[in-house]
Amino acid sequence: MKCEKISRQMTALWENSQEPSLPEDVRRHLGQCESCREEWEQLSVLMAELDAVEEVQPSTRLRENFYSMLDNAKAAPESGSGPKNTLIEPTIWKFTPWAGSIAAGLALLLAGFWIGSQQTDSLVESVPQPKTVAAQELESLQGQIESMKEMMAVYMMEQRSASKRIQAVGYTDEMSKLSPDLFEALRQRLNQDDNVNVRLASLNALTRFAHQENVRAALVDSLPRQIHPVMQIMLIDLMVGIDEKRAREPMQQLLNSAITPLEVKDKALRGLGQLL
Amino acid sequence: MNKLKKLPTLILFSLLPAVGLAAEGAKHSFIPADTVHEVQLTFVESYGDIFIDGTDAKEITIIADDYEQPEDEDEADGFVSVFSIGRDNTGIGLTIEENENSVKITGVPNSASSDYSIRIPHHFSLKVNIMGNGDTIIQNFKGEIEVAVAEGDAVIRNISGPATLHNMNGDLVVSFSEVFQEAPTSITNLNGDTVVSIPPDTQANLQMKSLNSDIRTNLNIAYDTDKRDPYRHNIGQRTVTGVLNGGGVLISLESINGDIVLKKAGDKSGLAPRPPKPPKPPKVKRIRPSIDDVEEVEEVEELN
Repeated sequence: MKCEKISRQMTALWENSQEPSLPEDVRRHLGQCESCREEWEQLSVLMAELDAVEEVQPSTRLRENFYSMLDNAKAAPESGSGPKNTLIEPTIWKFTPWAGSIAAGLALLLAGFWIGSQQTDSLVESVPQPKTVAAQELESLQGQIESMKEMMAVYMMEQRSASKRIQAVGYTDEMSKLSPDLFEALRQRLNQDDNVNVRLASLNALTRFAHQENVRAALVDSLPRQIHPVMQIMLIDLMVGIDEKRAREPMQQLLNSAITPLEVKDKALRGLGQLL
Repeated sequence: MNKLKKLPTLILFSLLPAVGLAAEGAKHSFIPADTVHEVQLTFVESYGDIFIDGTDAKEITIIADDYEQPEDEDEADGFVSVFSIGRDNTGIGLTIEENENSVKITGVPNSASSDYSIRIPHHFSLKVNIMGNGDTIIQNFKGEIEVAVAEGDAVIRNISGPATLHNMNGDLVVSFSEVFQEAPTSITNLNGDTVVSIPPDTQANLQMKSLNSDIRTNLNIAYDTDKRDPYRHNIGQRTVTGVLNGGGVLISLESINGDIVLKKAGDKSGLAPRPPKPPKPPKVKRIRPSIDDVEEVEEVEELN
Protein backbone atom coordinates (compact mmCIF):
# COMPACT_ATOMS: atom_id res chain seq x y z
CA MET A 1 0.00 0.00 0.00
CA LYS A 2 1.23 3.51 -0.79
CA CYS A 3 2.25 5.84 2.03
CA GLU A 4 0.09 8.66 0.67
CA LYS A 5 -3.02 6.59 0.91
CA ILE A 6 -2.16 5.51 4.42
CA SER A 7 -1.60 9.09 5.45
CA ARG A 8 -5.03 10.11 4.21
CA GLN A 9 -6.54 7.16 5.98
CA MET A 10 -4.88 8.10 9.25
CA THR A 11 -6.23 11.64 9.17
CA ALA A 12 -9.68 10.34 8.35
CA LEU A 13 -9.47 7.94 11.25
CA TRP A 14 -8.75 10.72 13.68
CA GLU A 15 -11.46 12.88 12.29
CA ASN A 16 -14.06 10.19 12.81
CA SER A 17 -13.30 9.01 16.28
CA GLN A 18 -11.65 10.04 19.51
CA GLU A 19 -9.53 6.91 19.96
CA PRO A 20 -9.26 5.22 16.59
CA SER A 21 -8.20 1.65 16.33
CA LEU A 22 -6.05 0.97 13.30
CA PRO A 23 -7.29 -1.42 10.66
CA GLU A 24 -5.10 -4.46 10.05
CA ASP A 25 -3.64 -3.26 6.72
CA VAL A 26 -2.59 0.10 8.15
CA ARG A 27 -1.04 -1.52 11.19
CA ARG A 28 0.96 -3.79 8.95
CA HIS A 29 2.18 -0.87 6.86
CA LEU A 30 3.26 1.05 9.92
CA GLY A 31 5.30 -1.90 11.02
CA GLN A 32 7.22 -1.74 7.77
CA CYS A 33 7.37 1.99 6.99
CA GLU A 34 9.28 4.20 9.42
CA SER A 35 8.13 7.55 8.01
CA CYS A 36 4.48 6.62 8.25
CA ARG A 37 4.96 5.38 11.77
CA GLU A 38 6.52 8.68 12.73
CA GLU A 39 3.69 10.57 11.14
CA TRP A 40 1.17 8.50 13.01
CA GLU A 41 2.90 9.20 16.29
CA GLN A 42 3.04 12.92 15.63
CA LEU A 43 -0.57 12.94 14.64
CA SER A 44 -1.53 11.11 17.82
CA VAL A 45 0.40 13.60 19.95
CA LEU A 46 -1.16 16.54 18.14
CA MET A 47 -4.65 15.13 18.45
CA ALA A 48 -4.13 14.43 22.13
CA GLU A 49 -3.03 18.03 22.62
CA LEU A 50 -5.96 19.39 20.74
CA ASP A 51 -8.30 17.23 22.81
CA ALA A 52 -6.66 18.52 25.94
CA VAL A 53 -7.65 22.06 25.04
CA GLU A 54 -10.83 22.66 26.92
CA GLU A 55 -13.69 23.73 24.79
CA VAL A 56 -14.91 27.08 26.01
CA GLN A 57 -18.63 27.23 26.48
CA PRO A 58 -19.95 30.72 25.79
CA SER A 59 -21.88 31.90 28.78
CA THR A 60 -25.53 32.65 28.28
CA ARG A 61 -24.80 36.29 29.04
CA LEU A 62 -22.59 36.58 25.98
CA ARG A 63 -25.58 36.51 23.70
CA GLU A 64 -27.48 39.00 25.82
CA ASN A 65 -24.50 41.34 26.03
CA PHE A 66 -23.94 41.14 22.31
CA TYR A 67 -27.51 42.09 21.52
CA SER A 68 -27.57 44.89 24.06
CA MET A 69 -24.34 46.23 22.56
CA LEU A 70 -25.88 46.02 19.13
CA ASP A 71 -28.95 47.88 20.30
CA ASN A 72 -26.83 50.57 21.90
CA ALA A 73 -24.83 50.95 18.72
CA LYS A 74 -28.02 51.29 16.70
CA ALA A 75 -29.47 53.79 19.12
CA ALA A 76 -26.27 55.88 19.25
CA PRO A 77 -26.35 59.11 17.27
CA GLU A 78 -24.54 59.42 13.97
CA SER A 79 -20.96 60.63 14.16
CA GLY A 80 -21.94 64.02 12.77
CA SER A 81 -23.94 64.99 15.80
CA GLY A 82 -21.19 63.82 18.13
CA PRO A 83 -21.66 61.96 21.40
CA LYS A 84 -21.78 63.79 24.67
CA ASN A 85 -18.61 64.60 26.55
CA THR A 86 -16.48 62.61 24.17
CA LEU A 87 -13.37 64.48 25.09
CA ILE A 88 -13.48 63.55 28.71
CA GLU A 89 -13.56 59.90 27.77
CA PRO A 90 -10.18 58.56 26.86
CA THR A 91 -11.34 56.06 24.26
CA ILE A 92 -11.08 57.07 20.63
CA TRP A 93 -13.43 54.34 19.49
CA LYS A 94 -16.54 56.23 20.43
CA PHE A 95 -15.81 59.00 18.03
CA THR A 96 -16.77 57.43 14.79
CA PRO A 97 -18.52 54.16 13.99
CA TRP A 98 -15.69 53.59 11.51
CA ALA A 99 -13.01 53.70 14.16
CA GLY A 100 -14.91 50.98 16.00
CA SER A 101 -15.04 48.68 13.01
CA ILE A 102 -11.42 49.26 12.22
CA ALA A 103 -10.48 48.52 15.81
CA ALA A 104 -12.54 45.32 15.63
CA GLY A 105 -10.70 44.45 12.42
CA LEU A 106 -7.36 45.02 14.12
CA ALA A 107 -8.41 42.88 17.06
CA LEU A 108 -9.49 40.05 14.74
CA LEU A 109 -6.25 40.30 12.85
CA LEU A 110 -4.22 40.08 16.04
CA ALA A 111 -6.35 37.21 17.32
CA GLY A 112 -5.82 35.38 14.04
CA PHE A 113 -2.13 35.98 14.28
CA TRP A 114 -2.02 34.64 17.83
CA ILE A 115 -3.92 31.48 16.96
CA GLY A 116 -1.75 31.05 13.92
CA SER A 117 1.41 31.32 15.98
CA GLN A 118 0.08 28.81 18.54
CA GLN A 119 -0.61 26.28 15.81
CA THR A 120 2.71 26.87 14.19
CA ASP A 121 4.34 26.10 17.52
CA SER A 122 2.65 22.74 17.95
CA LEU A 123 3.23 21.69 14.38
CA VAL A 124 6.70 23.04 14.35
CA GLU A 125 8.35 19.68 13.67
CA SER A 126 6.21 18.69 10.75
CA VAL A 127 6.27 21.98 8.86
CA PRO A 128 9.27 22.42 6.62
CA GLN A 129 11.29 25.55 7.45
CA PRO A 130 8.71 26.83 9.93
CA LYS A 131 10.65 29.92 10.93
CA THR A 132 10.78 31.35 7.45
CA VAL A 133 7.05 30.90 7.07
CA ALA A 134 6.42 32.48 10.45
CA ALA A 135 8.70 35.40 9.63
CA GLN A 136 6.92 35.94 6.33
CA GLU A 137 3.56 35.79 8.03
CA LEU A 138 4.75 38.22 10.66
CA GLU A 139 5.96 40.59 8.00
CA SER A 140 2.73 40.52 6.05
CA LEU A 141 0.75 40.90 9.25
CA GLN A 142 2.82 43.90 10.26
CA GLY A 143 2.10 45.34 6.84
CA GLN A 144 -1.60 44.73 7.37
CA ILE A 145 -1.51 46.34 10.80
CA GLU A 146 0.20 49.38 9.32
CA SER A 147 -2.47 49.70 6.66
CA MET A 148 -5.14 49.31 9.35
CA LYS A 149 -3.49 52.16 11.26
CA GLU A 150 -3.49 54.21 8.09
CA MET A 151 -7.19 53.60 7.58
CA MET A 152 -7.82 54.59 11.16
CA ALA A 153 -5.81 57.80 10.74
CA VAL A 154 -7.69 58.63 7.52
CA TYR A 155 -11.08 58.21 9.17
CA MET A 156 -10.08 59.98 12.35
CA MET A 157 -9.07 63.02 10.34
CA GLU A 158 -12.77 63.66 9.75
CA GLN A 159 -13.56 64.17 13.42
CA ARG A 160 -15.28 67.22 14.77
CA SER A 161 -12.66 68.03 17.37
CA ALA A 162 -9.66 69.95 16.00
CA SER A 163 -7.42 68.39 18.64
CA LYS A 164 -8.47 64.89 17.54
CA ARG A 165 -7.80 65.78 13.93
CA ILE A 166 -4.32 66.94 14.88
CA GLN A 167 -3.88 63.65 16.73
CA ALA A 168 -4.90 61.69 13.63
CA VAL A 169 -2.51 63.73 11.49
CA GLY A 170 0.21 62.95 14.06
CA TYR A 171 -0.26 59.19 13.59
CA THR A 172 1.60 59.55 10.30
CA ASP A 173 4.77 60.20 12.34
CA GLU A 174 4.92 56.45 13.00
CA MET A 175 4.49 55.48 9.38
CA SER A 176 7.37 54.60 7.19
CA LYS A 177 5.48 55.11 3.95
CA LEU A 178 2.80 57.46 2.77
CA SER A 179 0.00 55.44 1.18
CA PRO A 180 -2.14 57.11 -1.51
CA ASP A 181 -5.15 57.27 0.83
CA LEU A 182 -3.18 58.84 3.63
CA PHE A 183 -1.55 61.29 1.25
CA GLU A 184 -4.95 62.35 -0.04
CA ALA A 185 -6.31 62.72 3.48
CA LEU A 186 -3.37 64.87 4.60
CA ARG A 187 -3.65 66.99 1.48
CA GLN A 188 -7.31 67.58 2.18
CA ARG A 189 -6.51 68.65 5.77
CA LEU A 190 -3.75 70.92 4.48
CA ASN A 191 -5.96 72.69 1.96
CA GLN A 192 -9.44 72.52 3.41
CA ASP A 193 -9.49 72.16 7.16
CA ASP A 194 -11.17 75.16 8.74
CA ASN A 195 -8.73 75.24 11.64
CA VAL A 196 -5.33 76.77 10.94
CA ASN A 197 -3.58 74.64 13.56
CA VAL A 198 -4.80 71.47 11.84
CA ARG A 199 -3.61 72.79 8.47
CA LEU A 200 -0.22 73.55 9.99
CA ALA A 201 0.02 70.09 11.57
CA SER A 202 -0.76 68.55 8.16
CA LEU A 203 1.98 70.65 6.58
CA ASN A 204 4.44 69.40 9.17
CA ALA A 205 3.36 65.80 8.57
CA LEU A 206 3.77 66.14 4.81
CA THR A 207 7.20 67.77 5.26
CA ARG A 208 8.54 64.38 6.36
CA PHE A 209 7.74 63.06 2.89
CA ALA A 210 8.94 66.11 0.98
CA HIS A 211 11.47 63.95 -0.86
CA GLN A 212 8.57 62.38 -2.80
CA GLU A 213 7.67 64.04 -6.06
CA ASN A 214 3.90 63.77 -5.52
CA VAL A 215 4.21 65.45 -2.12
CA ARG A 216 6.33 68.30 -3.51
CA ALA A 217 3.84 68.87 -6.31
CA ALA A 218 0.98 68.93 -3.80
CA LEU A 219 2.81 71.47 -1.62
CA VAL A 220 3.48 73.76 -4.59
CA ASP A 221 -0.16 73.41 -5.57
CA SER A 222 -1.25 74.23 -2.01
CA LEU A 223 0.44 77.64 -1.79
CA PRO A 224 -2.08 79.60 -3.89
CA ARG A 225 -4.93 77.86 -2.01
CA GLN A 226 -3.83 79.07 1.41
CA ILE A 227 -5.41 82.27 2.62
CA HIS A 228 -4.06 82.40 6.16
CA PRO A 229 -0.75 84.28 6.47
CA VAL A 230 0.67 81.67 8.90
CA MET A 231 0.17 78.96 6.29
CA GLN A 232 1.51 81.12 3.47
CA ILE A 233 4.67 81.97 5.41
CA MET A 234 5.30 78.42 6.65
CA LEU A 235 4.77 77.01 3.14
CA ILE A 236 7.13 79.54 1.54
CA ASP A 237 9.67 78.73 4.23
CA LEU A 238 9.41 75.04 3.39
CA MET A 239 9.62 75.66 -0.36
CA VAL A 240 12.90 77.52 0.20
CA GLY A 241 14.09 74.78 2.57
CA ILE A 242 13.54 72.02 -0.01
CA ASP A 243 14.70 74.26 -2.88
CA GLU A 244 11.47 73.85 -4.80
CA LYS A 245 11.72 76.29 -7.69
CA ARG A 246 8.23 75.59 -8.99
CA ALA A 247 6.99 77.61 -6.02
CA ARG A 248 8.44 80.79 -7.53
CA GLU A 249 5.32 81.42 -9.57
CA PRO A 250 2.76 81.28 -6.72
CA MET A 251 5.21 83.29 -4.59
CA GLN A 252 5.41 85.95 -7.25
CA GLN A 253 1.62 86.02 -7.39
CA LEU A 254 1.42 86.53 -3.63
CA LEU A 255 3.92 89.37 -3.95
CA ASN A 256 1.87 91.04 -6.68
CA SER A 257 -1.51 90.66 -5.03
CA ALA A 258 -2.91 93.70 -3.26
CA ILE A 259 -4.57 91.68 -0.52
CA THR A 260 -1.48 89.77 0.58
CA PRO A 261 -0.49 90.76 4.13
CA LEU A 262 2.81 92.62 4.56
CA GLU A 263 4.53 89.81 6.48
CA VAL A 264 3.76 87.36 3.68
CA LYS A 265 5.03 89.72 0.97
CA ASP A 266 8.23 90.16 2.92
CA LYS A 267 8.67 86.39 3.22
CA ALA A 268 7.84 85.85 -0.47
CA LEU A 269 10.30 88.52 -1.54
CA ARG A 270 13.12 87.02 0.49
CA GLY A 271 12.11 83.53 -0.64
CA LEU A 272 12.28 84.52 -4.29
CA GLY A 273 15.80 85.79 -3.65
CA GLN A 274 16.77 82.45 -2.11
CA LEU A 275 15.11 80.25 -4.76
CA LEU A 276 17.29 81.24 -7.68
CA MET B 1 -24.85 110.69 8.73
CA ASN B 2 -25.72 114.15 9.84
CA LYS B 3 -24.63 114.44 13.44
CA LEU B 4 -26.84 117.33 14.21
CA LYS B 5 -29.80 115.27 13.23
CA LYS B 6 -28.82 112.61 15.74
CA LEU B 7 -28.31 115.02 18.56
CA PRO B 8 -31.95 115.34 19.69
CA THR B 9 -32.23 111.56 19.79
CA LEU B 10 -29.14 111.29 21.97
CA ILE B 11 -30.46 113.90 24.37
CA LEU B 12 -33.74 112.03 24.52
CA PHE B 13 -31.86 108.79 25.34
CA SER B 14 -29.99 110.31 28.20
CA LEU B 15 -33.25 111.46 29.72
CA LEU B 16 -35.06 108.15 29.54
CA PRO B 17 -34.34 105.68 32.34
CA ALA B 18 -35.64 102.80 30.17
CA VAL B 19 -32.77 103.37 27.78
CA GLY B 20 -30.41 103.30 30.70
CA LEU B 21 -31.60 99.77 31.45
CA ALA B 22 -30.81 98.58 27.97
CA ALA B 23 -27.48 100.31 27.99
CA GLU B 24 -26.07 98.99 31.21
CA GLY B 25 -25.73 95.27 31.88
CA ALA B 26 -28.52 93.98 29.66
CA LYS B 27 -28.80 90.27 30.41
CA HIS B 28 -29.86 87.23 28.43
CA SER B 29 -30.00 83.86 30.12
CA PHE B 30 -31.24 80.39 29.16
CA ILE B 31 -30.76 76.73 30.02
CA PRO B 32 -29.67 74.67 27.01
CA ALA B 33 -31.05 71.17 26.41
CA ASP B 34 -29.36 68.23 28.14
CA THR B 35 -27.89 67.03 24.83
CA VAL B 36 -25.97 70.25 24.31
CA HIS B 37 -22.28 70.05 25.15
CA GLU B 38 -20.71 72.66 22.95
CA VAL B 39 -20.84 76.41 22.50
CA GLN B 40 -19.72 78.04 19.27
CA LEU B 41 -19.05 81.71 19.67
CA THR B 42 -18.36 83.90 16.67
CA PHE B 43 -17.73 87.62 16.47
CA VAL B 44 -16.79 88.79 13.02
CA GLU B 45 -16.92 92.51 13.68
CA SER B 46 -16.65 93.44 17.31
CA TYR B 47 -14.89 96.23 19.09
CA GLY B 48 -15.61 95.32 22.66
CA ASP B 49 -13.88 92.84 24.93
CA ILE B 50 -15.20 89.33 25.37
CA PHE B 51 -15.06 87.58 28.73
CA ILE B 52 -16.01 83.91 28.85
CA ASP B 53 -16.22 82.19 32.19
CA GLY B 54 -16.87 78.51 32.92
CA THR B 55 -19.30 77.93 35.77
CA ASP B 56 -20.94 74.94 37.44
CA ALA B 57 -24.38 76.38 36.80
CA LYS B 58 -26.61 74.82 34.15
CA GLU B 59 -27.53 77.97 32.33
CA ILE B 60 -25.76 80.12 29.81
CA THR B 61 -25.81 83.77 30.83
CA ILE B 62 -24.75 86.67 28.67
CA ILE B 63 -24.36 90.22 29.91
CA ALA B 64 -23.85 93.01 27.44
CA ASP B 65 -22.17 95.83 29.27
CA ASP B 66 -23.10 98.79 27.16
CA TYR B 67 -25.07 97.54 24.24
CA GLU B 68 -27.07 100.08 22.28
CA GLN B 69 -29.55 98.86 19.74
CA PRO B 70 -28.63 100.47 16.44
CA GLU B 71 -32.25 100.41 15.27
CA ASP B 72 -33.15 102.96 17.91
CA GLU B 73 -30.75 105.48 16.46
CA ASP B 74 -31.68 104.76 12.91
CA GLU B 75 -35.41 104.79 13.34
CA ALA B 76 -35.12 108.54 13.68
CA ASP B 77 -34.35 108.83 10.00
CA GLY B 78 -36.31 105.73 8.93
CA PHE B 79 -33.24 103.63 8.19
CA VAL B 80 -32.35 100.27 9.73
CA SER B 81 -29.30 98.12 9.27
CA VAL B 82 -30.10 95.41 6.73
CA PHE B 83 -27.51 93.13 8.24
CA SER B 84 -29.23 93.20 11.58
CA ILE B 85 -32.77 92.44 10.43
CA GLY B 86 -33.96 89.21 11.95
CA ARG B 87 -30.53 88.47 13.32
CA ASP B 88 -30.68 89.87 16.78
CA ASN B 89 -32.92 87.45 18.66
CA THR B 90 -31.67 88.43 22.11
CA GLY B 91 -32.05 92.20 22.14
CA ILE B 92 -28.37 92.57 22.97
CA GLY B 93 -26.81 92.32 19.52
CA LEU B 94 -26.46 88.55 19.41
CA THR B 95 -28.00 85.71 17.46
CA ILE B 96 -28.44 82.56 19.48
CA GLU B 97 -29.29 79.29 17.77
CA GLU B 98 -29.60 76.03 19.61
CA ASN B 99 -29.08 72.74 17.80
CA GLU B 100 -29.24 69.24 19.17
CA ASN B 101 -25.67 69.23 20.45
CA SER B 102 -24.49 72.79 20.33
CA VAL B 103 -25.41 76.39 20.92
CA LYS B 104 -24.26 78.98 18.42
CA ILE B 105 -23.80 82.52 19.67
CA THR B 106 -22.99 85.02 16.94
CA GLY B 107 -22.43 88.74 17.13
CA VAL B 108 -24.78 90.66 14.88
CA PRO B 109 -22.81 92.41 12.12
CA ASN B 110 -22.19 96.14 12.37
CA SER B 111 -23.51 96.48 15.86
CA ALA B 112 -21.39 94.62 18.34
CA SER B 113 -19.55 97.46 20.01
CA SER B 114 -20.42 96.27 23.48
CA ASP B 115 -18.30 94.27 25.89
CA TYR B 116 -19.83 90.89 26.56
CA SER B 117 -19.39 88.60 29.49
CA ILE B 118 -20.66 85.12 28.93
CA ARG B 119 -21.03 82.37 31.51
CA ILE B 120 -21.08 78.82 30.20
CA PRO B 121 -21.17 75.44 32.02
CA HIS B 122 -17.50 74.55 32.48
CA HIS B 123 -17.71 71.01 31.08
CA PHE B 124 -18.86 72.30 27.68
CA SER B 125 -16.44 72.39 24.81
CA LEU B 126 -15.84 75.78 23.24
CA LYS B 127 -15.22 76.93 19.69
CA VAL B 128 -14.44 80.63 19.75
CA ASN B 129 -13.73 82.72 16.68
CA ILE B 130 -13.14 86.44 17.17
CA MET B 131 -12.14 88.61 14.26
CA GLY B 132 -12.70 91.94 16.00
CA ASN B 133 -10.40 94.33 17.79
CA GLY B 134 -11.31 93.65 21.39
CA ASP B 135 -9.45 91.49 23.87
CA THR B 136 -10.61 88.08 24.93
CA ILE B 137 -10.45 86.35 28.28
CA ILE B 138 -11.51 82.74 28.63
CA GLN B 139 -11.22 80.96 31.96
CA ASN B 140 -12.19 77.97 34.08
CA PHE B 141 -13.04 75.30 31.51
CA LYS B 142 -12.61 71.55 31.77
CA GLY B 143 -13.44 70.54 28.19
CA GLU B 144 -11.91 71.02 24.78
CA ILE B 145 -11.22 74.60 23.74
CA GLU B 146 -10.71 75.87 20.20
CA VAL B 147 -9.94 79.56 19.92
CA ALA B 148 -8.97 81.68 16.93
CA VAL B 149 -8.44 85.40 17.49
CA ALA B 150 -7.41 87.84 14.79
CA GLU B 151 -6.48 91.16 16.39
CA GLY B 152 -6.81 91.54 20.13
CA ASP B 153 -4.90 89.91 22.94
CA ALA B 154 -6.23 86.70 24.39
CA VAL B 155 -5.83 85.32 27.89
CA ILE B 156 -6.94 81.75 28.39
CA ARG B 157 -6.46 80.49 31.92
CA ASN B 158 -7.34 77.68 34.27
CA ILE B 159 -8.07 75.21 31.51
CA SER B 160 -7.08 71.57 31.15
CA GLY B 161 -7.46 71.21 27.40
CA PRO B 162 -7.14 69.82 24.89
CA ALA B 163 -6.64 73.28 23.47
CA THR B 164 -6.27 74.35 19.85
CA LEU B 165 -5.45 78.05 20.02
CA HIS B 166 -4.44 80.67 17.49
CA ASN B 167 -3.87 84.38 17.54
CA MET B 168 -2.88 86.32 14.47
CA ASN B 169 -1.78 89.73 15.72
CA GLY B 170 -2.32 89.75 19.45
CA ASP B 171 -0.56 88.16 22.37
CA LEU B 172 -1.70 84.79 23.60
CA VAL B 173 -1.32 84.02 27.30
CA VAL B 174 -2.40 80.53 28.25
CA SER B 175 -2.21 78.82 31.61
CA PHE B 176 -3.15 75.23 32.20
CA SER B 177 -4.31 73.88 35.54
CA GLU B 178 -3.38 70.47 34.15
CA VAL B 179 -2.73 69.17 30.65
CA PHE B 180 -5.27 66.70 29.26
CA GLN B 181 -3.36 63.62 28.18
CA GLU B 182 -5.66 61.96 25.65
CA ALA B 183 -5.53 64.49 22.84
CA PRO B 184 -2.89 66.98 21.76
CA THR B 185 -2.69 70.70 22.47
CA SER B 186 -1.62 73.06 19.72
CA ILE B 187 -0.93 76.79 20.02
CA THR B 188 0.05 79.03 17.11
CA ASN B 189 0.70 82.72 16.66
CA LEU B 190 1.72 84.97 13.81
CA ASN B 191 2.80 88.34 15.22
CA GLY B 192 1.96 88.28 18.90
CA ASP B 193 3.91 86.81 21.76
CA THR B 194 2.84 83.51 23.25
CA VAL B 195 3.24 82.67 26.93
CA VAL B 196 2.17 79.20 28.03
CA SER B 197 2.25 78.04 31.65
CA ILE B 198 1.91 74.38 32.53
CA PRO B 199 2.32 72.54 35.85
CA PRO B 200 6.02 71.57 36.16
CA ASP B 201 5.18 67.87 36.56
CA THR B 202 3.29 67.74 33.24
CA GLN B 203 4.25 64.79 31.07
CA ALA B 204 4.47 65.87 27.47
CA ASN B 205 6.22 65.63 24.16
CA LEU B 206 7.07 69.13 23.03
CA GLN B 207 7.37 70.46 19.56
CA MET B 208 8.32 74.13 19.34
CA LYS B 209 9.04 76.23 16.31
CA SER B 210 9.63 79.89 15.76
CA LEU B 211 10.60 81.26 12.38
CA ASN B 212 11.83 84.72 13.30
CA SER B 213 11.84 84.96 17.03
CA ASP B 214 12.95 83.34 20.24
CA ILE B 215 11.71 80.44 22.34
CA ARG B 216 12.47 80.49 26.05
CA THR B 217 11.59 78.16 28.88
CA ASN B 218 12.31 77.48 32.53
CA LEU B 219 11.11 73.89 32.34
CA ASN B 220 13.47 70.96 32.50
CA ILE B 221 13.12 69.63 28.96
CA ALA B 222 15.11 66.70 27.58
CA TYR B 223 15.84 67.91 24.08
CA ASP B 224 15.85 65.68 21.06
CA THR B 225 19.00 66.55 19.23
CA ASP B 226 19.01 63.93 16.49
CA LYS B 227 15.43 64.37 15.34
CA ARG B 228 15.91 67.63 13.56
CA ASP B 229 14.00 68.32 10.45
CA PRO B 230 16.34 67.42 7.59
CA TYR B 231 15.01 70.18 5.36
CA ARG B 232 14.98 73.02 7.78
CA HIS B 233 18.06 73.43 9.92
CA ASN B 234 20.22 74.46 7.00
CA ILE B 235 18.32 77.70 6.59
CA GLY B 236 18.58 78.70 10.20
CA GLN B 237 15.08 77.92 11.29
CA ARG B 238 14.60 76.94 14.85
CA THR B 239 12.59 73.79 15.35
CA VAL B 240 13.01 72.07 18.69
CA THR B 241 11.54 68.85 19.97
CA GLY B 242 11.87 67.51 23.46
CA VAL B 243 10.39 65.46 26.23
CA LEU B 244 9.08 66.67 29.57
CA ASN B 245 8.95 64.34 32.58
CA GLY B 246 9.35 61.19 30.51
CA GLY B 247 6.94 62.19 27.76
CA GLY B 248 3.21 62.25 27.28
CA VAL B 249 0.71 64.09 25.18
CA LEU B 250 1.90 66.27 22.32
CA ILE B 251 2.08 70.01 22.97
CA SER B 252 3.04 71.98 19.90
CA LEU B 253 3.85 75.68 19.97
CA GLU B 254 4.51 77.50 16.72
CA SER B 255 5.08 81.14 16.01
CA ILE B 256 6.32 83.22 13.14
CA ASN B 257 7.23 86.68 14.45
CA GLY B 258 6.36 86.54 18.13
CA ASP B 259 8.31 85.11 21.03
CA ILE B 260 7.30 81.88 22.68
CA VAL B 261 7.71 81.42 26.42
CA LEU B 262 6.92 78.07 27.98
CA LYS B 263 7.05 78.24 31.74
CA LYS B 264 6.17 76.58 35.00
CA ALA B 265 2.71 77.51 36.17
CA GLY B 266 2.79 79.96 39.06
CA ASP B 267 6.50 80.67 38.62
CA LYS B 268 7.23 84.34 38.10
CA SER B 269 11.00 84.09 38.36
CA GLY B 270 13.60 83.00 35.85
CA LEU B 271 12.39 85.21 33.08
CA ALA B 272 14.75 88.13 32.89
CA PRO B 273 13.58 91.11 30.90
CA ARG B 274 14.83 90.98 27.37
CA PRO B 275 16.58 93.73 25.50
CA PRO B 276 14.14 95.86 23.53
CA LYS B 277 13.14 94.54 20.14
CA PRO B 278 12.79 96.62 17.00
CA PRO B 279 9.22 97.88 16.80
CA LYS B 280 6.62 95.58 15.27
CA PRO B 281 4.56 96.61 12.28
CA PRO B 282 1.93 99.06 13.53
CA LYS B 283 -1.19 97.43 14.91
CA VAL B 284 -4.64 98.84 14.98
CA LYS B 285 -4.83 101.14 17.97
CA ARG B 286 -7.00 99.64 20.64
CA ILE B 287 -8.06 100.22 24.15
CA ARG B 288 -8.19 97.32 26.53
CA PRO B 289 -9.61 98.35 29.82
CA SER B 290 -10.31 95.01 31.42
CA ILE B 291 -7.25 93.08 30.39
CA ASP B 292 -4.81 95.27 32.29
CA ASP B 293 -5.57 93.55 35.57
CA VAL B 294 -4.20 90.31 34.18
CA GLU B 295 -0.64 90.15 35.38
CA GLU B 296 0.61 87.77 32.70
CA VAL B 297 -0.09 90.31 30.02
CA GLU B 298 2.02 92.85 31.82
CA GLU B 299 4.75 90.32 31.92
CA VAL B 300 4.63 89.89 28.17
CA GLU B 301 4.89 93.60 27.77
CA GLU B 302 7.92 93.66 30.03
CA LEU B 303 9.56 91.17 27.73
CA ASN B 304 9.21 93.32 24.70
